[in-house]
Amino acid sequence: MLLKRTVQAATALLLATVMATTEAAAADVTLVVGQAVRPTQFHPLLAPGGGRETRAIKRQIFDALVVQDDNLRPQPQLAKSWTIENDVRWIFELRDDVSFHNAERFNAETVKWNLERILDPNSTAPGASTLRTLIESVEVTGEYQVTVTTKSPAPTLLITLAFVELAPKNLVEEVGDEAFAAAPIGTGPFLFVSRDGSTVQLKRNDAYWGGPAASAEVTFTTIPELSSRIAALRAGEIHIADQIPPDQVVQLSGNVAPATATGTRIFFMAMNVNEPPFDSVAVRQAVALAFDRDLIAQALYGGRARPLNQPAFPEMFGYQPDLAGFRYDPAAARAVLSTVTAPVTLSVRQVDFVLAQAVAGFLADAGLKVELALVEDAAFNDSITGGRLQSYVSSWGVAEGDVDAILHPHFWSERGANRRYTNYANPALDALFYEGRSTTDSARRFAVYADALRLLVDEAPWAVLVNPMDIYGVSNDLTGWMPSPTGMYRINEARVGGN
Amino acid sequence: MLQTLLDRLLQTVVVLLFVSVIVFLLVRLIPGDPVDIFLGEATVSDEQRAMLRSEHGLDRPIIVQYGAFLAKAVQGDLGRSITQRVPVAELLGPAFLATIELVIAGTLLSVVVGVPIALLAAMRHGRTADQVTSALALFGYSMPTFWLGIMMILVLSVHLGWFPTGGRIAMSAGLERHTGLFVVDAIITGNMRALGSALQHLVLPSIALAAVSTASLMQVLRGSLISISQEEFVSALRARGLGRPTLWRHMLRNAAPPTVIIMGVRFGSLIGGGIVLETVFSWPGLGLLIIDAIRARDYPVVQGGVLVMAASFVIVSLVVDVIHILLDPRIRQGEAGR
Repeated sequence: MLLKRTVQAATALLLATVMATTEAAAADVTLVVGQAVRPTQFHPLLAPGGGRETRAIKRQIFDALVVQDDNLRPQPQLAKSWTIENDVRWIFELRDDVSFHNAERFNAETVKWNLERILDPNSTAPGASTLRTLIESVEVTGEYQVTVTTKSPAPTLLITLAFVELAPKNLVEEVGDEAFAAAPIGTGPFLFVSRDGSTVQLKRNDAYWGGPAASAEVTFTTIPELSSRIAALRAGEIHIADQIPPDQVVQLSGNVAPATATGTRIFFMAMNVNEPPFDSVAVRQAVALAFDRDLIAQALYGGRARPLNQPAFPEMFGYQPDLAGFRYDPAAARAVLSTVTAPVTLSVRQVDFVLAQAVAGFLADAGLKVELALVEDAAFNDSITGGRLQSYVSSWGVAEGDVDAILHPHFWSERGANRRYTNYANPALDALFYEGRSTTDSARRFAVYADALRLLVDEAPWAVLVNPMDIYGVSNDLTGWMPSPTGMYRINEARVGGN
Repeated sequence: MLQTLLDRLLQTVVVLLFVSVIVFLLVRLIPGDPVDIFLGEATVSDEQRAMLRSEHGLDRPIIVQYGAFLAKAVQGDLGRSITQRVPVAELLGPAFLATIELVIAGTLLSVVVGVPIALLAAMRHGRTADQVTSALALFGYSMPTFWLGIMMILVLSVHLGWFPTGGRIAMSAGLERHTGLFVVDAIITGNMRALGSALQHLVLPSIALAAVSTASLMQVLRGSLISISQEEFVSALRARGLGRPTLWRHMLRNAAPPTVIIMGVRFGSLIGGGIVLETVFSWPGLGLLIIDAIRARDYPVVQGGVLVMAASFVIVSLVVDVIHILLDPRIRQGEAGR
């Protein structure tokens, strides 16, 4: 009797399972993105702003005054156009056809309120400390015109504004920051529906000023384990998988394929200039000569990386195509490094371990004894910002696409106690940074960074290595999507199963 | 019995207090600062950093921070997540229930599979069936959960398409949440589609989880059955001409206490020990939440999460003790005689 009942119950369950599967296959057209890292929060005026994964979601819900194109240059978004008067007055003409998802109108007052909240000395919003050094005042000079006055000519203002998403003034004032963070509302192509742990559901904003997106629903979910992420992609549960390492690309065949975008991350070996043997310029230069960057790009990244001869890649403003830069000269490296007797410690995080092994290999070939030290992520971060590591392999993302964005945080001598890194400081470099930051004349800036990059190649606190591509796994069911170097998913035209 | 319960409750409080101190200190003693980590590569001035630290109370002396934490925790307020800016309880609640659902499913599965096999092995002690099942148990015991999980995903999900590769339920199932245990919610709302989806998502992680517990259950139960079968009372029962089923029922009853203890301890440790499993199957449980929080040094989430884990372990072992007392008349009588 009991057995019979059990069998019946089991059959019913099995039937329900099968029915659920078939039904799901028919009705499920939601575009699903599987990310490796869990997003933080989406309120643009609160910290933490989150990394790329969070911004990628935030950017579906919110717009900014300007948006980066695939060459990382700022293009109009909520600002239609802008003019600069007297080098310091930026007059932005705004779109007059934009509303937030709750129907609140977007206008000059919205922009002024958002920027002034960021400029408030108590603000911890992302970008606040940069904007405070740049902006003097924000005025409403028309219903759809805002004038931003900068303290001095500010060449990086536009690109900084590309990272400032705009929130609805009235709503945030009414419900408060924490409530707004729980249910964010923007002007973007998708509306926030719900968040369940690490899964975020969005639906199409049919009234989007740029025209409605192709997909009615988009879900961002977190799948931290790489093999599970690839499995979910191959099983058709997700349509885009991010952070695919080059050695896993072979797995992306059949119903899925790899898609690559120019990466914005620069990898380097950093040397502590306060500690022997790297207090010697000759040793640092010799280290920089020890690496066959072409071989690293080929062997480690399967060609999906560019060897770099300077701390910049070609799409960045300030990149110097004519700079001789770092090169590979094993004999010259050996001549110096084989005289160093004490072994050096090269620290690295798990994610960059293979690259560090290659680096250590090249250094060993050049006669330098290297001990690799694997350090947990947060502890590593703590040690490098404190300037306590003898040498390390790491990387820096330059989504801003401007040389200033990588050089200033690492080498400006007043970068602060939380950014010691190599401990390198140089008044000549400071003067160049100052000049590069205080002219809107592109030709002048370009010449300034030519000097700065040459100086850094000569002094070699960093031996710059490669700039890998970003690799995504994409389902063949997905149409209309290409990854962007900005790391922001432009999914407006993407849809599942449409041809 | 009542005295035992009271003693254990007091112990629980002491244990939790101790755990809270350890976690609170450890998470702050390991290098890495939450503010630095979530700022990442953002350009931020030292003043802004200091402001963020004070916003989260991280600039106060540790002892003051602990006092504030404890004062709030006893009122059920575990603070607010640094990275997600929502109350920690809002994150822990659903994650805890997700883990519980998985652990219950896995434990049920191992009982359903393990008890009959152990019976079979004990009945055929020393013969082929016994040797085969013992080998299977050893296999289940020694297989890394991680590897088993990935293999099942590759074969059963990717190639055969029978089960989802991860997650807890299809978003499209439209499940209304009541208890937070999705199978239960689906049944009480009569949502067959959600029930199917929830069960389908449970299959692979439960099997991976049950692999190890089934093995230990089998070995313990088999061992106790065999030793009981050599006891005098069994011979006496046999001599009285009792039938086999009755005989085995008596033996099972005697073998139950050690088995229940093993399963209970396993149940408790699984609540906190499923991190690998939850990562492989993207199961949004306590383990996955805490490992993320540790990476981000999201102190309040780590503290709250570990406290919940410790509390559930202590409570589960308390429940196991009670069951043990109820199952074993010798202990009950010992209590009464005291």
